Amino acid sequence: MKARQALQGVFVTAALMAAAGAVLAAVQQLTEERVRANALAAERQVVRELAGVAATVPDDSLLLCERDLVLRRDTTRGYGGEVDYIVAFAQDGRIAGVRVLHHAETPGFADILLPQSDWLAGFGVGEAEVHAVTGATITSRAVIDGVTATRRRHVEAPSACPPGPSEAAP
Amino acid sequence: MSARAERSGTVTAPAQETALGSFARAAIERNPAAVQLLGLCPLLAVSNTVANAAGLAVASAGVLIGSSLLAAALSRIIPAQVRLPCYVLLIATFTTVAMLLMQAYAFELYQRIALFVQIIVTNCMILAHIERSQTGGGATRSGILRALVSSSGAAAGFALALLAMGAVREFLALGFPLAAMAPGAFLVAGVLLALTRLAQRFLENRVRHEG
Repeated sequence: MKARQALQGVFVTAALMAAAGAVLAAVQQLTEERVRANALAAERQVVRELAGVAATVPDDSLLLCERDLVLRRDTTRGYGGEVDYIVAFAQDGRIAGVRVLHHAETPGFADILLPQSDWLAGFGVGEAEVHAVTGATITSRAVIDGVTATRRRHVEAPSACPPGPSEAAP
Repeated sequence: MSARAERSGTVTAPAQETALGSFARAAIERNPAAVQLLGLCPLLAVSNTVANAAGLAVASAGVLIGSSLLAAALSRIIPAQVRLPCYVLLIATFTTVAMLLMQAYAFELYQRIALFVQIIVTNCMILAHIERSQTGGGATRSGILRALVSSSGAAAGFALALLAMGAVREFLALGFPLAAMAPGAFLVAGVLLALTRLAQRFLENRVRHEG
């Protein structure tokens, strides 16, 4: 009797799990296209704010040349997972701006990654070094290290941008 | 019915409770946030604006009502020993569905409150509600209806708390930016709770004097 009950529990749980998996797969299929379109639209918006044109940074080349700016997309490891960001470089290699595309950092602490954050804007100022923020040490340090690495890569392997900035329609 | 009331351990339910009464009891008398003090983590974290609070309220309501209904419908199939894992599985499934739908149809809101939608899974308010309401009724039509009414009530109660917090904090933040920040959440929640208790005591006294 005991064994039968235990078996029943196992079967019911397994059946429920299979059903749940099927439902999730179906919902994922149904929403996938819209979710991707939303993410792309959000990215377009970020690039528009950085470079003045609506575009996406292609994943494969990690690079976009627009209006004297070179945009590079990169990833760093934060506290809650990966932080995706775009760095805009001026022609002389200085950082013109940094925007975060996607992150999984703790809400509240992650406010420093918002587009309107003073801290993130500090990257675009140039000369002064950006410091980590107390209370969001891991997140801010991860972004600083990531952007520094991106910049090093950018300086070591200058962009393959065609001579004369591309003049895409705004 | 008596077994159910005994199990709940709080207020004794009248033998024949109307749907409206059951809804109101779940929403007000047993308000998940203000009376049972459950689900406070998302309540404090997401109530900085009314829009965020409303978003989380809708997502929580969908998960709570959906999983309550399924738990009631499956109550005869699910053996007692695996009840809790099965409930958690139901809640997790509904939460993931809510996340996907939000990403597809309310992307901007999702970006703001993503983490707190994800942790609806661990909102003890939902598991407590399902576990407590799964003693009588079962898979009969009235059992499922009862689950619908009481879970809607609990969802409405949670939404009420979220929206009240969101409204007060967003309004106060116009003059005191602190209200929108984490410490402000605790201060506002404390004051609102105290006021709720005062009102409750006042009403109880009046009922006693009149009765």
